[in-house]
Amino acid sequence: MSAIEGAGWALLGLLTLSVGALAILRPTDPAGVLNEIRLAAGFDRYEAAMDEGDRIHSTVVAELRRTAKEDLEGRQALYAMLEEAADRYEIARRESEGFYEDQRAQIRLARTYMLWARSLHEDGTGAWYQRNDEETLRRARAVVDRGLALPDIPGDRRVELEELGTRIDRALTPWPIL
Amino acid sequence: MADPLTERRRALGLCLLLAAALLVGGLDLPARGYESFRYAMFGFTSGLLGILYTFALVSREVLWRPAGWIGTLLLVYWAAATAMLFRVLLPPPGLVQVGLAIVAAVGAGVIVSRRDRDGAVLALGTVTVILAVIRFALVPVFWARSGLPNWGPVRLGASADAVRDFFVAFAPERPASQALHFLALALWVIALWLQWEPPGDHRPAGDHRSDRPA
Repeated sequence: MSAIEGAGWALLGLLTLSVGALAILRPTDPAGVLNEIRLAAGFDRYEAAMDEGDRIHSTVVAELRRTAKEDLEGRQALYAMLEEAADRYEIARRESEGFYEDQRAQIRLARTYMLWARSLHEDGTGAWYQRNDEETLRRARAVVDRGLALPDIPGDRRVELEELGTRIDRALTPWPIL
Repeated sequence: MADPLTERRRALGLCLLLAAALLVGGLDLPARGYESFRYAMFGFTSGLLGILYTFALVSREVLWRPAGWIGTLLLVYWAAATAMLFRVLLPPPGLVQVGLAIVAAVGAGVIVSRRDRDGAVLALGTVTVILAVIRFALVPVFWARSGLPNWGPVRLGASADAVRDFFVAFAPERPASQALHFLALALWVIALWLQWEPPGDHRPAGDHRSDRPA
């Protein structure tokens, strides 16, 4: 077997593997593919995880604007993406070297939890004559608690999370005056 | 007697073209949503049609099949690339796809009934054009002109969407998507073209011509 033929077989294997990887992993963005390759290869994993988290977060921000509140399936898919973004920031936290890198990842994580909980709060509260969706509101409260559990987020972000938590608690309580 | 080394290299070249068709044909560029691209493998219907057409083309000796494991490998790539060709050509799921899948299956029967290779390829080309016209010309126009507005509490738009999805669950794509899909078809046709003249001992019985498909 000549060198060119060997290269041809290698190329065929590569093309076939690419088809299999694309079909199984189902990437949706070239930047996402690059970030995942960087993460898998262990090359600058902290920045790769932060970039991927930012990419997913900004995609969700854009998509939430054009997804109707009634489109439950679409919104659930976006919440799954926020979970992915949070996973990436957690990876970044594990890969961080020193306090400031860890804090940077925590701030992004808190921002993601804030977006997620606020959106769930909107989903769970309807018009004044409609009953609130308590299950959704409890999920929102759990997400807020995950944000509040982060040790090194700035004070203003913590206050925002606490205020949102209070609003959710009020929506959950049938008689707010009590 | 054909040289086994030459046969193997030729089969490798064909596999490369078919694998490239498989890769490019699966790429979709959605016009809506957050996805910049999406890779969609062929489904059950397209897969079955791919196997059926590969069988029909091999039985009419349109596709060259060398002996041994390389022949089997080549057959697998032909079937997969042909299935991807049908994924590209068939419209999205719905009643329209059902009708066209039946038309394509009947087309495979027509191919098998052809006496010569030219006729078989011509029948395949006719099926391809019918599917392409409906997929890329008729379905988008039907989709664009069959919507209804929502009149306050009377949500006619949602009802119209449900009825449209019953016929064809169309998802608009960016124009570059068509170029990608055409490239996949072109790679498939180039592979067919390059193997049109099989080595000496694989030449179909009674076929002494060396003309290529038009």
